[in-house]
Amino acid sequence: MDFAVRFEDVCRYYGKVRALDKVSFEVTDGEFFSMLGPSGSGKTTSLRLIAGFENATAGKIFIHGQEARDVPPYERNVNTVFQDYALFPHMTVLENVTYGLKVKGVDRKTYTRRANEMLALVKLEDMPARRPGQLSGGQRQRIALARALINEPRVLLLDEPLGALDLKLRKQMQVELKALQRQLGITFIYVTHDQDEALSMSDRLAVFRDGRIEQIDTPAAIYETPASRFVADFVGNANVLGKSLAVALTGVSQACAIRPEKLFFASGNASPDEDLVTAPGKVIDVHYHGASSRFTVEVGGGHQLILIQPNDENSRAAALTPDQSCVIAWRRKDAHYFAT
Amino acid sequence: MPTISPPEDRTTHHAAGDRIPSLPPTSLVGRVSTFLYHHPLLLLLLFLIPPLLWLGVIYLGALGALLMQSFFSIDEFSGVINREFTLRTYVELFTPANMDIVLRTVLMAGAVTLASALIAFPIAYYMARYARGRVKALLYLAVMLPLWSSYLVRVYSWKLILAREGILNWAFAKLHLLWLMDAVLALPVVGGTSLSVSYLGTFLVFMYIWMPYMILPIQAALERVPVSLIEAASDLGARPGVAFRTVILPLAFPGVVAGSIFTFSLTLGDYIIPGIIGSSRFFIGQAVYSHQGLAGNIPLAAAFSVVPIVIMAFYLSAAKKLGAFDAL
Repeated sequence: MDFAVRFEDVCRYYGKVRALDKVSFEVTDGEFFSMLGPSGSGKTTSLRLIAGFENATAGKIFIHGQEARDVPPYERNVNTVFQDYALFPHMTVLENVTYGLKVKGVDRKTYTRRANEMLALVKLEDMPARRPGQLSGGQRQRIALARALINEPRVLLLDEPLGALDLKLRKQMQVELKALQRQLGITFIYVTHDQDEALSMSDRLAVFRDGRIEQIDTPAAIYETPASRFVADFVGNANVLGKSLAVALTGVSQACAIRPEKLFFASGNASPDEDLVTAPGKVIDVHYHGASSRFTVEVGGGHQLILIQPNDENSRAAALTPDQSCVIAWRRKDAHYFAT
Repeated sequence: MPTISPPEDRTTHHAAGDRIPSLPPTSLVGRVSTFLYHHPLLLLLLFLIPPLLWLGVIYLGALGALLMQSFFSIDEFSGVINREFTLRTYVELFTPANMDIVLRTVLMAGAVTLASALIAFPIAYYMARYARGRVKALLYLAVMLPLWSSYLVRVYSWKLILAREGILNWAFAKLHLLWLMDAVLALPVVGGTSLSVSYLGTFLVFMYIWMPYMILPIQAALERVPVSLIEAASDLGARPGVAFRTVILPLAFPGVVAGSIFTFSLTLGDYIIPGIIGSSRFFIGQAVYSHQGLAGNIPLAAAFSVVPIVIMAFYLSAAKKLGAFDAL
């Protein structure tokens, strides 16, 4: 297997703060790899280490097999799309995009042609003479992308590139970024704190927490079989049942998590069997979300579980209002048990 | 759906609604402030009239009077000012001797500005980019501290430092470097018998005195350059030198120009430093001072003081083109 980036026990300390603590992982060449985690979990630090803006306190980083420690950022075949885009305000769009080629001494004819190709790629051919200040957030984001991609990096680093965009534009750019990555076939390393984004775009993703990686896997595997409570909670919503509640409801003395969409309302006379768990409860709250509704249900004396049910006027859920009693159920195989 | 608000809730709302309009008419102050609240333009005008009067009548008026004086002439025999429009004074201004004074002053202002920028930039760069916490506060203090003491005291102490018997010469002698000092003083025009009586000395003191005015705008401009821009340049393949030339310098340049406006105009108008330190040849400020004082030639003094105004007008319009005022 050809690795684009490899971390070997990488540590990064700021004074006494451990931003990264013995982190090891590999990013395969050509994959869309996301680093997901709350702020301060070490994901951006990892990205900055790959870009070369910072050096690891300990451990080794390899980029396409080469040890990166003594390679300054301007000699790495890696480019970054910054969170604030970091477009040069005193240059036009065209000057921004051609910057990378100009400083490498590429001749004018070539860089102009390449810039036009890049602007076409990000669908912004018609404004080369504008300044970044005259562009919208979405346009700036595309220019930042074009400015990075013109250098033909083997690895593209994206630091929460969609963070400043509104929801609709975000969704659209997610699709476009993914398509672009497939089209170009280069490695994308994508930092985000948005689990939706990470799940929908990545080939694989790493979930960071407190400077360590909790789990690395495909989006489906992370969602379906979270390695820890933290992952279950952070990636998607999860109803986490502590040990005592799990015993009371399922008879198994082990903490587990159940996705809200895996829970459903059963009829009043449903009884548990070997593949079904049922529990009586009381509806606390109902939130309407368009395609689905979100129910808060109290079970087992004060524990609240969340159910997300598709809105269907004929369903059992549609008839429920707050303060009504109900029976919730789930299939045993849908509960995910944690080792700890 | 059950009704949410009970009836007693509504009565409280009602009572509160009744009380609000009954507040203002009670006091005169209340009525005035309500009136002003509803007429914001009037309020703005009230605030602006005193400063506008100050600026318009006193400042611009004085400037106008000055300009007018320069079109009068002096009777050389009696020393009486002839209040009739004439360009005679300006003809006198353009005599070679007076033009020497103008040229000397402009060259000095240019040299001081250029040298200040060269020295201030690294200091400002360090303050903006690297210094943190205590060190940064200390640097600020070091830059600002000289401004807290009297200008005259500082200039006179430089006279002592630069004098032939001064500490600088003493240090050079102890370091066996007097030959270097002598070589510098032997330079034509800028040299002299000692630094305190040479153009070089004037230059050094000007540079010292105006340095804070150069450092602070540059530092402010550099402070506003986001770190991510420098990282982006490096990320795109620019070596540190290239990144400095293509990103940092262009973005900090308005700050340099803003600082240069201070150093240039302040040097152009100063009459104390060249009077205390340097060769006894006149600068514009001294010419103005002596013509209006000893000689009583108010028209020529006025004409002389028009010179820096005209030069600064050109300088400012050039600076505006370079975007200097974005950084202020």
